[in-house]
Amino acid sequence: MQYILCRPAGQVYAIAMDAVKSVERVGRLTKVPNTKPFVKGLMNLRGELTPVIDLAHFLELGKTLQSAQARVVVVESADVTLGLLVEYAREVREIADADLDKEDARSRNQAVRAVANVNGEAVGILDINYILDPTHGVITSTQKGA
Amino acid sequence: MDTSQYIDLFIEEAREHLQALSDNLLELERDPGNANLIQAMFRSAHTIKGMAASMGFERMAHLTHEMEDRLDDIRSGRAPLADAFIDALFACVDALEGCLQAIVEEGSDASASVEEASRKLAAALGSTTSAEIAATGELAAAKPADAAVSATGEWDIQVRFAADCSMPAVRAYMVYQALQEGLSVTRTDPALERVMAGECGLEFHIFSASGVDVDAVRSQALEVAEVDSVEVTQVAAAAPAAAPSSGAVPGTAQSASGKQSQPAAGAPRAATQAGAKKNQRASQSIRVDLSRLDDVMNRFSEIVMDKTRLRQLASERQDAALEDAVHHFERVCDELQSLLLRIRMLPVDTVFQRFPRMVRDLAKSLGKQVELRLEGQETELDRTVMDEIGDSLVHLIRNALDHGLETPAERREAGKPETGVLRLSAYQQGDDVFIEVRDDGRGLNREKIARKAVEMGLLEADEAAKLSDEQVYGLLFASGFSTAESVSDVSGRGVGLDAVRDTIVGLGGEVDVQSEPGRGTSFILRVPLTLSIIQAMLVRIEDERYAIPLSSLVQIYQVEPEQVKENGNRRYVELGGRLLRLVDAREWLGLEPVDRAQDVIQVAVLGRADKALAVIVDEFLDTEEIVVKPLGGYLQGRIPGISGAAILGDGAVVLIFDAAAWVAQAAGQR
Repeated sequence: MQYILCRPAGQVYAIAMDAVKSVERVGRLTKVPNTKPFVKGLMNLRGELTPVIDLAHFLELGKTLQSAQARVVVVESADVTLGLLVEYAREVREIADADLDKEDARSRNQAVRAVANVNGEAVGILDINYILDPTHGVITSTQKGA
Repeated sequence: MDTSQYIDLFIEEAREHLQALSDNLLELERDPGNANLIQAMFRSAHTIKGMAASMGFERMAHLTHEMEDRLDDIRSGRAPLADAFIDALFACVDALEGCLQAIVEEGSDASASVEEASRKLAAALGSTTSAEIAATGELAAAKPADAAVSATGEWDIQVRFAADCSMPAVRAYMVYQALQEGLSVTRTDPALERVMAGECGLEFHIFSASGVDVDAVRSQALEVAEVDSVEVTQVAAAAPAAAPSSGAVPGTAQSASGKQSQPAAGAPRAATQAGAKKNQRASQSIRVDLSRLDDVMNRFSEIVMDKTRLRQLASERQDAALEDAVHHFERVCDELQSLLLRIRMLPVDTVFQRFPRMVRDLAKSLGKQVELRLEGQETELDRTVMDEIGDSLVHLIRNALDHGLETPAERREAGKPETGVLRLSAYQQGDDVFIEVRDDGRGLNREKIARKAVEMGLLEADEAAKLSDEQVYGLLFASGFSTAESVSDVSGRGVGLDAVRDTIVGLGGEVDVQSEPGRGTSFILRVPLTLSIIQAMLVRIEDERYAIPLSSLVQIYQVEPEQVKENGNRRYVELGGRLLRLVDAREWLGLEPVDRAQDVIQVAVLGRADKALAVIVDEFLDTEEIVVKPLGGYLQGRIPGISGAAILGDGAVVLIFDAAAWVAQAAGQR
């Protein structure tokens, strides 16, 4: 399967291409209140509203630096579309299913479903469904304690 | 015949006929002596049978055939009209709806079950067995051997389709299906094989060897949609007798020495006036795929954004000619917008029409007597709004029947008529549509609601007494609230009123409840006429802009620090002669707080005259026409106080305030 590689905070992570809708330059982001800090805001993607999260921040690797190379990788499932802000996203790699090591991947991070060895580098294969789960992005009213 | 391309048309028409069946059935229950209703139902069943048979939906065709036979028995007085028969017909309508659902989902009615309905139908007519029915059916078919029937010579039935008929071949086949039983068809023109291959012009002939009941044939053929006229002519006895498969013999029909020519064009297609009116309207309208309409609307919303942008640019340039052009462009846009919005409007009857049946069944199962009164069915609403409110109304109606209305015995005791009245009314006021569900039942029990709220921890026991009735009733909308003592089938599962409130608020509307003990309860839904384009006030809070819909903005004020009063940890301000609760938008949105104690503050009063909240914002900007977009699956419905977002003329995204949620939160806060 084809994967797009991104490098948040020096670590290498892979997103399955079949979940990727497009890769965009970073547009103007409108902050959304009462969301977790990694939710960067709403972006106008050719008339569609797309929430954007900072992938590195989501993975607890620190905040993404917004350089000119930064991109928003738009991923989608049946009813959720989400932009992932990453420092860099240009490499596309073929990673065979046989090369995926699913053992103890979750222990590294809930959002990582497997680890693959690509040219001697450990690549975390992201669990897109976990990332797209809306409950991870919003502060519930009980947490807020209004 | 490849029928796949006609399936949508079939589904839609079948739905209409099923609705008609259901409506007439309800009417029949009320007015059992009305022969016109039996006649109309017979026609509906007959039409569905023809359509289903031509599409190859056998179960549907089979069941409607049986219904048709039984209805014919009633119509001709061979069987009495019993209550069991009406119930059986309801079961048939349900089974047919099941078939249609299966067709929608699977493309076939093979998985649908019609046996139960069919059995009920047979049982309802008592001892009459299927075989006997079949025999009487045949008898009935053979019976019309009266004056209009002639046994000699060949008959030519000429059917003309309306000029705008989109698929004459399908219609031709339906006509053939409808007529063939009572005739002995020798051939058709075009030949049946060609018709089934989709080849047929606006004229179709069926030739029959046996006697023809001219009136019956004509009325049956005219029942097929888009049939314009039917002419029945007796061809000279010497006409060549062709084998059934020989196909067209051009000229035969034209050369016929017709002596019984009976043009039927212009003859009423339906017995009732309403039916005739409906047909007339259908011929002047076209069916459009909803997604296409949505596409048009989406494209247009981009034009609205461009319009706003152009207006900004033009005012910067100060060029008179450009100003003029932009001004004209704006005007045309506005007109186009109202036209487009009107196209998307549907009468609320589209949701109301399913309720009579629902209320009947529910009332029966609850052992209550209810009269449902519908009012203002012609009130129009945007179809996106319409799609959303259906479930909410179902819930409110169930509630009213289950909890609101009393049993006949209870009502008698209370000195009320045994039959309760459930009134469902719709009306428009300004840019809003109000839909009211009102029962004349026992009314809400303030004590019970308050007690339950205290149990649930929504309220301190000593607080309850201080609340107004309206505030207590408002507790019903709290999440998971239900006063039903036992969980019944009908309602009372505790998922409900809160979901209703969420849906309506999500649409930018609100729900209100009024009640009088012993006199009844009414739930009033206010929903906007349309969702997509609204006027809004833009405000700045921190470094972002937000939009407040003008429909929920009462007034804006500049408030001096000394006007603000504190009571405990709450702040109030007196505006327009009323004391309003004052909150800071920054605080409620979870943003960085600022100390405004010494400053003149900008205050927006949200809500309605009688339920308002004063909200501090950083700055008022401008009013703008905005195009509302959903937040998308990740955020929609999860951000408190925000109902959606909009894209402004400059491409920026702003969040839209859900004023009703702010007011509700203020009211619900301890």
